[in-house]
Amino acid sequence: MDKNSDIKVTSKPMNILLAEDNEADVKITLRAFSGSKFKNNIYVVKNGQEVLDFIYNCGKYQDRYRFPAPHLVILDINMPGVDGFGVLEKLKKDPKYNFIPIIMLTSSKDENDVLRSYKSGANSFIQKPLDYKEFAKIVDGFSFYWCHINRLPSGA
Amino acid sequence: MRQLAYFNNLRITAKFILWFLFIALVPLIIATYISYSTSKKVLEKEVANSLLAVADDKANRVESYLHEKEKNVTTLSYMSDIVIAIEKFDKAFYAGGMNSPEYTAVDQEFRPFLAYYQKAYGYEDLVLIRPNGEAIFSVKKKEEQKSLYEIVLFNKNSELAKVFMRAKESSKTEISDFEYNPQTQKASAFIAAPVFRGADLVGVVILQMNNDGICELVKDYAGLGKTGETIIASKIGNDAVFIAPTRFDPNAAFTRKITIGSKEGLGIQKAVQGEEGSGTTIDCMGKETLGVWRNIPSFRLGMVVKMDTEEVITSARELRNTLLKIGLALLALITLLAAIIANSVSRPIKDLTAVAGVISGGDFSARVKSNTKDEIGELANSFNKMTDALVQAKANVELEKEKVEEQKVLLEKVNKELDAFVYTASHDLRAPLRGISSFASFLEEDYKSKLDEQGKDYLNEIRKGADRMNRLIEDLLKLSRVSRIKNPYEDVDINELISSITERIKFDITHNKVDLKIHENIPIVHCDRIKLGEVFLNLINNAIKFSSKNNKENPKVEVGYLDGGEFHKFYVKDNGIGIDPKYHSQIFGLFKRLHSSDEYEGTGAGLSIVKKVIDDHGGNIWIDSEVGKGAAFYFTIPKDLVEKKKIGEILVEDGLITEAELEEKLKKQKAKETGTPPDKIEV
Repeated sequence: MDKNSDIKVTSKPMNILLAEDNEADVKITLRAFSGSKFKNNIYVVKNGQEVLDFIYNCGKYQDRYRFPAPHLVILDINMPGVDGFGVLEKLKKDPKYNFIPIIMLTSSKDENDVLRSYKSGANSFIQKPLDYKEFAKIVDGFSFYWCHINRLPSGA
Repeated sequence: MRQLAYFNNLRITAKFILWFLFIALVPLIIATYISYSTSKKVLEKEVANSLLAVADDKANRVESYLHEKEKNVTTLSYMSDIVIAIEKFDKAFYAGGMNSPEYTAVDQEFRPFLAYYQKAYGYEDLVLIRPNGEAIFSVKKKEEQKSLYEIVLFNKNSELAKVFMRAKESSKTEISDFEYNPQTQKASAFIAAPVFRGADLVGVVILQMNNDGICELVKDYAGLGKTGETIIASKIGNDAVFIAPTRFDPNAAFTRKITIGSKEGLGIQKAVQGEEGSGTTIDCMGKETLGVWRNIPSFRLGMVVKMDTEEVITSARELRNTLLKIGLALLALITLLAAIIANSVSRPIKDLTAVAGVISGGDFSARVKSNTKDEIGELANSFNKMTDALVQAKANVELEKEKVEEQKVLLEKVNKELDAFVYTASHDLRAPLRGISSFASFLEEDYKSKLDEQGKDYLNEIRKGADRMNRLIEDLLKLSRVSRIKNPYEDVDINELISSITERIKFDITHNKVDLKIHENIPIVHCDRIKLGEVFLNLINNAIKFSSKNNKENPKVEVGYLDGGEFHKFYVKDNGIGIDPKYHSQIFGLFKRLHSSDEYEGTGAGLSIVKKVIDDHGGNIWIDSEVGKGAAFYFTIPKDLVEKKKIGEILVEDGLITEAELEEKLKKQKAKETGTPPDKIEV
């Protein structure tokens, strides 16, 4: 955070869809994002089905104004119902939405998970460290990269 | 031996036929030979006997015939008419010769009587001779008186002269040898009888006889079969001259002769020389004959009655031929019989072979049909039983295979469950941990002012605990991964591997001022690169860890290689605190720690992972250390284990052995190589 303190934030806030079933993890992640100087709009859903509903504006997410199409999707792997891989594979196969960058955020560092994610078209794979301070640094760096350095398609 | 092998390789049928023929032929041949030779002997004896009888009979008849002829002449010589006739012819011849009227008168007076006598008794001629040898009368040769006279006077070797002389000297009737008469073209002999008046010899009467009578006797072939004949010969000079025709040569008389001492006609040679006997000889035609030879001494004749041996043994031959024909028929019969018997023996065997072929082809339902109760039937039954047992055994094996298969499936399931557990553990166990750690941090950050030192310490402990728990979980996962994941073996440059590892822990090395020495001559080793890297990393890390604290000198770590024969032998040595030998056997246990985590951080999983990897490679690991004297970890990797394991895995893949069997074998092999009891080995 300190390292990036001199960076001037010029970019618009982005819509980030965060899929995470664990309440505690949601709180931790949101705190890390809110602590970052890159302010973004975080939409939280609790499982894979909700991710798809959100993107396709189904069910309770029919209101496109309230639930705008996300610029980024952050997926946990372990989720009840449709899990992170399910969502990843579905979206990356859909020509309408496969441009949306998908970041896998998980507590696992299983090689197979990493490989499977990239093979399925994930754009990034981040392991959540145990220590919060480290995690906060990672989120800061993540925001800096995705919202400041990286260019996203504006078509959404 | 080769012949015997050839015989042994024959089909059963051929063997049977050969044996049967052998068994049947030998007695058959012996019987044929014995009966042939016996019958031949018997026949020869019989023929010899009959020839003997014929010969004796013929000899007697010839003798009596000649005796009769002789007697005729003797009788004539005693008749008064002949005495008177000789005296008158003598007187007339002496007075005026043959052409004188006196002679003619006498001739007219006596010729009818003398001619009648000559004719009536079947003589050729009748001659009257004066005692001085002058012929004074001949029935036939009136015109040849002169020559007759000359013969008697000058040819003293003529039969006529000889017989005249003999009769004159002996004063009794004499008979000459036969000689050829060119005029009659017949053999003839002279019989001479002296004629006396009182005691005075007045002349000799000579009758010339031909061989017709003898020919008649010879021509009688009764009892002589087809080739039997009689030969009568007289010894003239050094020859036995035939005086009568033979059965197959009507002109034999005086044309056929046998020189004494020649090889042929031994019988007649002996006969004319006065011997008598019988036997097998070669006749003048060169044929083998069975003959009897007799001598007729009174007339100096030899006689042979003979028969061709060929004819004698013909019946024996016929008997032999009949026997041979029977033998041949028997042979054919035996061959047929042998073939039938052999077939009855070999057919079940052939059936058995065919069924065995079917079974070995995989059709276990085939059975031998047998309805006999002999050995072959028993064999068939045994074979069927064996096949049943085989089917049963196969079924058992299938069952076992199924069981093994089931266990394999079960094992796979358990493995999968374990995988799932490990996966869950890595995700789900760590999520709450992160919660614990993170919220402790939040408390610390958000309530800094409200917490006293003790509160802060407690929060710190909470975070440390979570951290430690996290590392334990990670090590546990690592160990589980080491067990489950098998990387392919490859040729690994160990020096390169170690330098890549030291690169990773460069910070620790420089930070602790470690004097790290790595041997340069470590060879290429065939192994699991990633896992062996784990081994070196753990061992080097340990060495640094336990030699960096409380050490008066700088930590020294040495990685070396020794050639251990069938093994590559590595060691990692340090000058650290060392390990009490009483703990040597425990330190490879999971989470086994000899020190508190405050003193030396770590979970205690490292050496367990190291041991697991070495075990998987078929090697061994041990420690050489004492407290305060540093520690040296030695481990071995078999040089040829790779191949063994690979081959083993191929065998398992192909289903030739089960995994359990392979493990058992590897265990034994390893026990042999390392000298450890098999029950203490883990593969």
